[in-house]
Parts: sequence; structure tokens; C-alpha cells
Amino acid sequence: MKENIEDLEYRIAKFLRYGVILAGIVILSGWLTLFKFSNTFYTFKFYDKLPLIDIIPFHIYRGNWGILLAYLGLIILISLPLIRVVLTAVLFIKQKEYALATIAIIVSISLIFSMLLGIEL
Amino acid sequence: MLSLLLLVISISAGFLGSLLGLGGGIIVVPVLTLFFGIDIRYAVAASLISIIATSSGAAAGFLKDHLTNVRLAVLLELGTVGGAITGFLISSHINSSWLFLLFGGFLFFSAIMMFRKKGDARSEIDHPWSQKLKLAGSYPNEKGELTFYKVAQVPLGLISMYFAGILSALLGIGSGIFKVMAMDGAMKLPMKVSSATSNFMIGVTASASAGAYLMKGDIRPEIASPVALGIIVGSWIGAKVMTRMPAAHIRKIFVVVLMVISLQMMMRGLK
Repeated sequence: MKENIEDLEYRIAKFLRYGVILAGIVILSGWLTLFKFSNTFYTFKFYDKLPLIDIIPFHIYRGNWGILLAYLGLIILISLPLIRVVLTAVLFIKQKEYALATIAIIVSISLIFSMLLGIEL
Repeated sequence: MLSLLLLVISISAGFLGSLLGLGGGIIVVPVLTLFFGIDIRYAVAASLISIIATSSGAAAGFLKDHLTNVRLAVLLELGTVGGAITGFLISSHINSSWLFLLFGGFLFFSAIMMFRKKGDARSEIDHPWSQKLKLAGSYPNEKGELTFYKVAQVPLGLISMYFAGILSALLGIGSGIFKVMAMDGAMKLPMKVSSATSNFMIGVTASASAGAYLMKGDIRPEIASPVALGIIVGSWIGAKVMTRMPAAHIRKIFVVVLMVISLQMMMRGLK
């Protein structure tokens, strides 16, 4: 019998749950390191436009590994839904459901496109 | 110490959110802006991160109960992701007073919607798109029997999802309320299926704009880390104790709280 798409998705979802835990641990380790020197939100009272491409080299140069680790955790978290949609597309292709597979692929591409939109804005 | 306080508040937000079926964002954004005095753009970006965490963390549970309609979710994600892209593009051109007003209005609306009756209106006809993509489905009810349902007004559902996506990206919320409304109101899906499918989709919607905000530099780990960690822990606790809590009473109290916060957000926008 052909396995139900929901059952296959369930396996992906279980995998994603581990992804959330992993991201949580990475964010936590970064945050604990960060916590020692950053204890105020005053700098965030006013919006300051500073792209990630400029933030990362600054922290590498300063050796702020806590912040970099926290960024890594956040990136893992943000990429989880994208991974899910890509895996869903693969599932649909395997089940020869080409219409839904195409839709899932379009969603994946739109997600990547959306993330890239943040650059240079 | 402020970071620790933010962690504690985020745990409560996650806890309340999962108990009441609201996203944590509805609590996190007002706390960050009104209480901590953080710029609303950083608050929105941090909140989106927590939405991804709750959605991805809870998906397995709903799928196990066979409540999520994965086929429909994939189709509707077209609408929400499109909306999220639009919302992100608008966000660069909108000033924060408008964001406060919009957020306040949304909160007020959500508070009223919490009083809504929950009845399932079934559709007798399956929309042609639904027939083509085999979107109709079934789920096991309390007695363990399968309840079958059809999917109506698919194009209207898609358009509603597009607007839900815009709001999600602008306000840092899952906009689950609109997603559920579109699914059980317009598309005539059973309430349980709407909730589960909405939860499944909000992570994808949020990641579209969260990724863009991350690149733009609006997601700052100093704020986003305690918020994300707090919401993960809080919603996990909420899901564990959900059946043992008097949710109906908490809901009534919370409606009042939401109204008060909503007015404060709007007043902040008018300043």
C-alpha cells in the first residue's frame, strides 16, 4: 500500500522537532556567552539600519563568538520551514503527484527569493 | 537583568499562547515595545523567530492526530508566502506609528474574535481546484470514526491567505486567526482541521519574512534569543498542561487584557 502523505510528513515533522531543539541549544549557548557583556536594550530604542553582511564581519573581528553562535542558531531555526517544504516537494514527486510537487517547488523558490530580498534594502 | 526578565516574560507568552491557541507574537510585540521601549521593527523581527519555533515544534503532534491537511497547506502557502514578500517590501516604507495603529487594531479584532462561536459549517460541494488537487480529506473524530469534509471557495481562501501573509510580515504575528477564519469561514473546513493546518503553515509564512529581516539586519540576537528560547520552553509547558487548565476562564480574563494592550498600542501610534 502506498504510504499516506500525512504519515510521511509526520516523519519530517519529528525530524523538524529535533531541528528546533538543536537551534534552541545553539541559541542558548550563544546567548549565555552574550549575556555577560550585553545587558541593556538601550541601543535598540532607536532603529539603526545595519545589514547582516556588515554585522557579521564586525563581530568576527571583535571576537564576539556568543553573538555569532546565537546568529547561527537563528539561521538554523529560519531554515527549518524551508527544509520542510523542499522535503514535501520530494515526497510529492515520489508519489507522482506532479501538480502539488510543482506548487511545493514554487513555494520553496519563493521562500529563498524572499530571504534574498533582505539583502540591499 | 533585563534579558532574564525578557526570557521569563517570553516563557509566559509562549505558555499563554499555546493555552489559548493564539500566537506568542500577540504578547511579545507589545511587551518589547511598550514595556522595554524597543523599536517596533526589532520587536516584529524577534517575534517572527518565535513563531517559526512554535509552528515547527507543534507540527508533529497535529500530524500524528491526522488533523493537518498537508495538500491544502502546500497550496495555501503560495498565498501566505506571496503575502509575506509583499509585507516585507511594504515594511521598509511604512513608519512605526502606522505599525502601532495596525497592531492595535489587529489586537482589538482578535479579542472580539475570541468570543466567536465555534460551529462547523460543512460544504456539500467540492471546488473544482480541490477536485483537481484532491484537497478534500478526513480526520478521526472523538469516537475514532472518520469525518469526511470537502473544500469550498479555494480561490477566496488563497486571496485571504495572501492578506494574512502581509499582516504576518508587517506585525510579527502568525496571523493564525485570519488563516483559521479563511479556512473554516470561506473554505468550510472543520475547526480542528483549520487550526492544525494553520499552525502547520504559520512557520513557513514567518520564515519567508524572518529570513528577509535577518539579512536586512533587523533580527538582533540580543532580543531574539531570549524571546525564541522563552517561547519554545513556554509553549512546550503549555502543551503539557493544556488539558488540566481552566482555559475558558483564562480566555475571558485575557480578552480584557488584549483590549487594554490594544488601546495602548493605538495610543502609542497616535503620539
